[in-house]
Amino acid sequence: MSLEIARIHINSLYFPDQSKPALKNINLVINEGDFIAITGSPASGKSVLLHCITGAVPKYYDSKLNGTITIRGLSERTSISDNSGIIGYMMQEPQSQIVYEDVYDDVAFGPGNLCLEKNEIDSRVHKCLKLVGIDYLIHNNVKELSGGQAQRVVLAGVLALGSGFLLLDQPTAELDPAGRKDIYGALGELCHDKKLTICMIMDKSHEVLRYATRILEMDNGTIINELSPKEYLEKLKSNKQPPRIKKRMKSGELHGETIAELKGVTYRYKNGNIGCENIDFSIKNGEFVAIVGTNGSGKTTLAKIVDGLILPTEGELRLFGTTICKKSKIKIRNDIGFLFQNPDNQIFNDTLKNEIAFSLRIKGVTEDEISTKTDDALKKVGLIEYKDAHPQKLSRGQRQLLAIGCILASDCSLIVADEPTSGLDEFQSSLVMDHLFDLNQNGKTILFISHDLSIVRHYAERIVVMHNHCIILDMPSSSLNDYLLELKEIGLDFEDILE
Amino acid sequence: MSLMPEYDKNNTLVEFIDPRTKALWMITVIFLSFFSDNILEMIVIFLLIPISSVLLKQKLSNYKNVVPILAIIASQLIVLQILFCRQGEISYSWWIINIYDQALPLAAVGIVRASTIVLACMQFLSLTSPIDMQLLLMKFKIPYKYATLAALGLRFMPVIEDEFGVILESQRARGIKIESVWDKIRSLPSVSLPLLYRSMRWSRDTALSMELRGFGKYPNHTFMKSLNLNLWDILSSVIMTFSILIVIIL
Repeated sequence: MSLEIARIHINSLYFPDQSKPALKNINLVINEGDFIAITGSPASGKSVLLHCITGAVPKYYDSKLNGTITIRGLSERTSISDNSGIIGYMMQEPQSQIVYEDVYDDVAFGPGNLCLEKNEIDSRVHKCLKLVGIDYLIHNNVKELSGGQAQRVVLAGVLALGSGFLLLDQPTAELDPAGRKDIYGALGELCHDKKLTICMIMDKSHEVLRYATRILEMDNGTIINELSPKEYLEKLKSNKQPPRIKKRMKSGELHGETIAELKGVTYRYKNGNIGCENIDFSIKNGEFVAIVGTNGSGKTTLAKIVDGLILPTEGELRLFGTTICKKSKIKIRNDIGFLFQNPDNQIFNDTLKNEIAFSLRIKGVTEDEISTKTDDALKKVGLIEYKDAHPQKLSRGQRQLLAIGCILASDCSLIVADEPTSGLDEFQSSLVMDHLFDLNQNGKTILFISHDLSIVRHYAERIVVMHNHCIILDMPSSSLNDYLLELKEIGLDFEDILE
Repeated sequence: MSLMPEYDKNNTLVEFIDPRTKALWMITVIFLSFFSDNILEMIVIFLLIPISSVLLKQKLSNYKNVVPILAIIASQLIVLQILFCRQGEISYSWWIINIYDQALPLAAVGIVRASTIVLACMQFLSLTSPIDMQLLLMKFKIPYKYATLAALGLRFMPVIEDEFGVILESQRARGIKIESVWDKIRSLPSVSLPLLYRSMRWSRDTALSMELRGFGKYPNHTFMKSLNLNLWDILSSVIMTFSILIVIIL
């Protein structure tokens, strides 16, 4: 019989000023060697559950917990740091969890706090960095790392604590497909060989299903289903809709004039690094185009150029028939919407309705129209019931939907989205992508970057592949099967586990 | 735009010097600039900072972003001295305003002194890594927990600056005009509030992450690095201490 690691019994958990409990009726036993993946709709309580296990709720988040959480037989702990060495926790945003500037120092921070011997710390740092595949970055400055690399540093730091129980909140959200495969492979191996216990919130990658032992589905603050990976896969397959793009292509819709054109475009950053090089690319009105590529291949730079946010250092950029320079880029701003990876960079108003209204005021929409358009946009993204709530009280997925709401209301003809589903789970990702798809159906042009190849396959009608800052492939998604091998060679494996 | 020059860990010369020596250098330069009233002497003391930076293979362009701030301080000092200085003879008089001939030399002294203090502090921060700063503070008997906070401040200052840049870009992409100074003032809430929310979220996540990594579990911490004064550090510290003593005695 397996050793019991944690027993979670929660009758209810209330946050102040909220009538509905954030968590309710949860009875969960986690045994040694379990690999549990949690999935569910936005604000279903997944992250709150992990926070409860760590003790951050109620210490960091004011709340009233009715229930007991027992970790390794102990239900009472005086401080959260008592859990170090027992629980390792990794949150979504890597940069906020990195304490020191140097990769080595940061990974050594946890074992250093446990006052281990220097030799032991050194050996743990080397071992953990190797395990997450970034031992070659051991003496790098964390500022030089990509999002995916930073995520691996945090994971190495958590593993270096030597705790047998890991809680991970979407640990591969910022990684490219090859990176995800490596990380899940390593975690699965640890779980199997070293009896490590893992409880993680699933991102939209299905890769974790190869290693998970149990899948928990959450909704409305409670666990509604406990499935084996096989059962969950069956369920996913039966729920899987046919690729939406195919439906559209059948309708025989033709695309209009070219709205963005890049000729021989190169962008160099001030420090001399190349963002993208010698790009020839155009996008026609009504297209739904995906840009894919590994971390650091130049996708975001290209998207920012198409949006007019940065101007090429070489070559020509034409948007809506106008050659873009410093002066003209302000004029085209109203026609283009940019959806950033992180909605928190934009949101600042005190209610959802004011946030959307602000987007409309910038564009000179009259006050009479603002009210109608705001309600309309909030209804479309399913947030109308929260229209007077503070955006910071929403979950990350809901805040991303709010950012989409702002774009919906703004009525831009070209929408550029930089990894719009990053940090979201499968359900939330579908919601976001379906909204973009609907916008496209209504004549808007969509250009999106994604690491999620199943999403690209499902929605995009044209796929642009970037590698080493250049476009190496530009093809209709119907030709994707002809290039699977070449794409796999550069770390883009389109073979979805669901297929 | 980064206000603070970044610490370059690949600079072996900088790594070689003990942070206590770097701190003493900063103190010496500031001290000398306070003890001198001669503008030429003060300029020489000021020049010690860029010269030492060049010798330590630091880029002088690192300091360029602080020039507008120093220009604002300089203009304030000139105006204050013109209005309120009462030393020397009256060289110009208009209505109730009397300008004395010592106003501008005194303003110049103030400007050079202020510039020396700012640049010396910036140089010290750019020569000291967060972990070195922590170890330095602990050498001065600051408890480990509080010394870690100083290291965190150094680590997160450039991160918050970068974050500010991303927020500016996001709001521009949204259509907010942030070009002229007036635009920037008008758009202050749309830029500062997301930064505030982000910073609050970050500080909570950082605190939680640190606690779960054992921060505060024990009063001590095993550091992989320790501070050791080498012969060069000892020699230069002696010279700097002597120069301070000589200035005090004379």
